Amino acid sequence: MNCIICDKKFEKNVLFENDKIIIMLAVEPSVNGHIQIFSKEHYTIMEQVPDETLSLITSAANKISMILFEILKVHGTNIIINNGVSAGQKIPHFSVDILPRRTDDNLKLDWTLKQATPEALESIHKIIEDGMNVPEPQIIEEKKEVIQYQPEEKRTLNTNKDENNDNEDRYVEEKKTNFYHQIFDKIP
Amino acid sequence: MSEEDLKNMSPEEIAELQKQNCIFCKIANKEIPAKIVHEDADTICVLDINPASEGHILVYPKKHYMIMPHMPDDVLAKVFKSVKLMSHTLLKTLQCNGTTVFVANGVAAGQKAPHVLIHIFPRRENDGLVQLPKYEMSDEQIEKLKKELENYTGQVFGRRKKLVKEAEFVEKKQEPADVEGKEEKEEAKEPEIRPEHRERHHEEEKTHPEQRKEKSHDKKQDERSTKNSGKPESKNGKVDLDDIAKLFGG
Repeated sequence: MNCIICDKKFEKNVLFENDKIIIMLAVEPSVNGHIQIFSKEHYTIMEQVPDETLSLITSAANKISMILFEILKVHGTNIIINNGVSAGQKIPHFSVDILPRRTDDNLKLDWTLKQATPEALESIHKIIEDGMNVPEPQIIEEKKEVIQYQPEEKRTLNTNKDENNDNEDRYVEEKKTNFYHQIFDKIP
Repeated sequence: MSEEDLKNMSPEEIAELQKQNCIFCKIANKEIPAKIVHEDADTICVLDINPASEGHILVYPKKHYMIMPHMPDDVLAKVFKSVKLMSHTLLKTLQCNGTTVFVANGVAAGQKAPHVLIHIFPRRENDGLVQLPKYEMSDEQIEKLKKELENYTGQVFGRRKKLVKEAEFVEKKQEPADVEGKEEKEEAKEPEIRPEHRERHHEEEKTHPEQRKEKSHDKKQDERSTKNSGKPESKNGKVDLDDIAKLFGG
């Protein structure tokens, strides 16, 4: 595995380590006091993380934001999970970022507020609801494979014989051609 | 309600007022209509009216909490279970390349409503949303920060240094046990050496078996005393090395 966290290249930053989570000062900080929480086991995105470890990580994030409130005397904290490279995930290991915020830090993490039209909202709502109701395609494929398993075996046996016959014919042909080639090679 | 009344109110009363006037509590109670994507016994997922990108979803607990640290762990677990579900559905339905989960605690962090809101929005490349800048820190700064925070993280999660100390303590405990084991091994080795000298001391052993036993006891005691007082093995090793060095020098 070529993972910076699993290889323990930032051991000096670690604040706390457990058999489930790692709490450390951020590898690439964006504010003074930026903290990251990693899962001990290697997961790249949030969908792979089991619920138990996710709850552990988020409760740890809560406690750490309380610590930041008390010790660094910050005015607020941001808890950010970037899922996927296009979302700005820099390390291919699932992490929760905790950023301490002050009123005068000039960080612009917010987005400009735009009022969405009710039509656009409805169309997206439909798309998402339809997507939620559709069962996942992977499960169906697996079931089909299981049902069609036995007849396929028989077919493959029959086809194998045919293929073998074909192969023998080809083999003979190849031999012939090779023989002629050999003769031609020997003439000069 | 005039502004003077608000100024005279205690913070607890203001909190209660906020609870009563909270839009998101009203949405959860279905007093205000909204596009509900997913609903649970404790959580609710709604489309945001002011989206950062198409498909922006808000996940929040139905009970009123001001900021995320106020939430107890069991509620948090349920909320993040539905967060995981929503980000999965966004990835599946809208064909985006990634999602961002964003929580703001406090007005300074960009919180706009007095109710915990967990934002999830789909991300596409070069969309210019939540971008974390780089902040360069020297090693000294990192160490200073670590020292500042380590004590408190130790209090909350359990101290890292303590673990190290316990490990050392265990090692120290194991040392005397090892010494005893070595002694036993030495005792076991003794009979192997005896046959070589059996011919010389054969008569002595026969004549004074009790005396020999006493001698052996004395030897053991000597060994123990030397081991307890210091580490003779290491000293012996050093002496040997010195002797070898002398041989080369001479």
